[in-house]
Amino acid sequence: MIQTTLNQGYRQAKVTLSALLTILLIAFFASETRAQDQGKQLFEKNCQVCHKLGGGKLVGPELMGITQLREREWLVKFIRNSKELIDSGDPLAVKVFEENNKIPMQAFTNLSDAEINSIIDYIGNWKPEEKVEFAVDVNKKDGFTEKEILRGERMFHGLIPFENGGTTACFSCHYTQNSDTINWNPSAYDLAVAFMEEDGMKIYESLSEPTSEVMEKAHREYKLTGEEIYHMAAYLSHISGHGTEQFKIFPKKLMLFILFAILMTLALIDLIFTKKLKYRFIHLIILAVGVAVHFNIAMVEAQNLSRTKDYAPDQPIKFSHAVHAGENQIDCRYCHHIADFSKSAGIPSNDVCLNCHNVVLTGTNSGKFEINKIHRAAKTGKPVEWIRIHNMQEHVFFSHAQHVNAGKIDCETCHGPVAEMDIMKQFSDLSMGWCIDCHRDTKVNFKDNQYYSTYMKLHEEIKAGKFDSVTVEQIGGLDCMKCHY
Amino acid sequence: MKKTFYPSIIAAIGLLLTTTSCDRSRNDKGYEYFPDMAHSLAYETYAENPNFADGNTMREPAENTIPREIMPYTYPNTPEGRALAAAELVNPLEASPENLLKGKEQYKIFCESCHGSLGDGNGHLFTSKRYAIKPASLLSEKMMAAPESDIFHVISAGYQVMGAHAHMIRPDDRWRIAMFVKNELQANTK
Repeated sequence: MIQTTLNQGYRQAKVTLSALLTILLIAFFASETRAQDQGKQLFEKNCQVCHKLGGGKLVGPELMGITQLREREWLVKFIRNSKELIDSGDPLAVKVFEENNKIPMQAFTNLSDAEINSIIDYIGNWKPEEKVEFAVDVNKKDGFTEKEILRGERMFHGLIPFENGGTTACFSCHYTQNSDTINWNPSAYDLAVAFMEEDGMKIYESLSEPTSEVMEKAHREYKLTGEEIYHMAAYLSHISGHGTEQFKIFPKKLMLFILFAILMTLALIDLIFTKKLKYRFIHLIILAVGVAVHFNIAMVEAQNLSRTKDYAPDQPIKFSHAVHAGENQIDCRYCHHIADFSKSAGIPSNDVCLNCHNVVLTGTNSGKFEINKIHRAAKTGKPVEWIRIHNMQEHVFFSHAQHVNAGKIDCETCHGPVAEMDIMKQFSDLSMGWCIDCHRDTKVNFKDNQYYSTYMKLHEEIKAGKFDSVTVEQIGGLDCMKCHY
Repeated sequence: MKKTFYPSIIAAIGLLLTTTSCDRSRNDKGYEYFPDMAHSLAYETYAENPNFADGNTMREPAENTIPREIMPYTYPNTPEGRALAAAELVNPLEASPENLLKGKEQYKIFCESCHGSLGDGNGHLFTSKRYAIKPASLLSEKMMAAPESDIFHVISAGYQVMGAHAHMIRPDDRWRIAMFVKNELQANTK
């Protein structure tokens, strides 16, 4: 009896002890990881803009292995206030300062000792991720077999499940057919091109080591095997030559046209031959409405010939004017900086993008993928092939310089609410009637504008009080040779 | 039988008429009718060009030449270059109201997003947390003491994370911006 109770007591003690131990252990590890997390967060918030962990110098020097190179105390001091340390004549600090083009590092007096130490811990414990060896060559030169491509396609579309989980099919985010509105995810074609490029991503690496937070979150459940990735690569290499499929819309107008054509034929046949309907006014109504609809459609379509109003093609980079001109309030002429003295408003060069995007590496909506395209283009020197939307016919002369500089016309007058457009589209129809209407109505700022100082007669007439404002028409804005010569 | 059928057809047609829209999707440019003289026979500025090895119509100037009316900016983006430019360059323009007005306009386009309308470095891009690095204040002691040529150099060649703007802003306008910063932004805070 006594023995058993003793045993039981032991057992209970054992259970409680081991439970306690586990809780302690969990708490210990949790606090450890929390400290790690804190260091990581602080690093990403404060340091990452200028320093890289693995991958070389950015603005400041590479930090991998810095904890072995320098003493901790010195590091803390330097991070807290590098300028103070340099001014005090610390030889090491002065050396570091001079090695980095004498660019001073921002002082972090707002961080506590513990916080700085957690950052240093994070840097000390950081290891470059081990590259996973891949047995099959993904970027195969001599092409994949049809069977491999087909299997890849089925996997991409979710018809063949992945071995290690991952329920959503690839193509529910990485679309193969575009749509009417912007889809911020990289399209399958985009991915394929990036994977195929030398400086693009390697498919295996980017699937096993996501580069951005959004991507990491979305790809967490996917652990693809080598074979699966091989088939996926086969499919992607196949579509890299094909482009994104264009969405189609239902041709309502054409259907309406055909419907009325049929109705009118029936009405005519019944009117002349079969005569089944007694009331003739029904035939007449159908014929009248049909003719009106046909004329209307023909007229609208004829007017739209050669005009590309509302044309909004997919651009090679999902550049959003709504983000840049709208949310970020960047002036149009920062990027289109030749608009005021050139015929064309100018497509900004990569350098202009990189003025901001050497620091801003993650986009609001698109993550790193779209911005990375600029970096790749800048690296390879291959120009980004933007698609031209506004295209005046060659027999018309139009100059931005005249309208922006002399005329002081706002960009929005012709280009519409660009600051709300995710996909840039043509707002005005750029027809001749549109030009002429504007030239008839627009009043020229005649008095204070140097450009018009040579119009002596008009100036005299204004002084004499004949009229108080001058329209573009009065200074020859309707002359044929103004635009056609 | 047929008589009762007709009203519903007419109603359907009416519905179609009210909801009708263009048959073109946004990726479609539509048709052209006799596009004589509508397309340029010459290669256009940004167009592809099969006659050159790199495929671009835009050419770079031949080696050891400079484009007409363009003076290359030779001071490098280094502390030494900056000091040299500040000491050697002279503003060719006078601080007239017109020049200052143009400078203000150009400052608004090219500088305000980062350096702010007051020049204190609190531009919209920084305050909205889009751009992580605090842009330099143009009202710091260092900048107050700097001559116009120093500002001109930084605009032209860049400094730290700020890129070179020499290819975006014409030299005279760069001087006008420097002038505006000195004569208005900084003068107003003294």
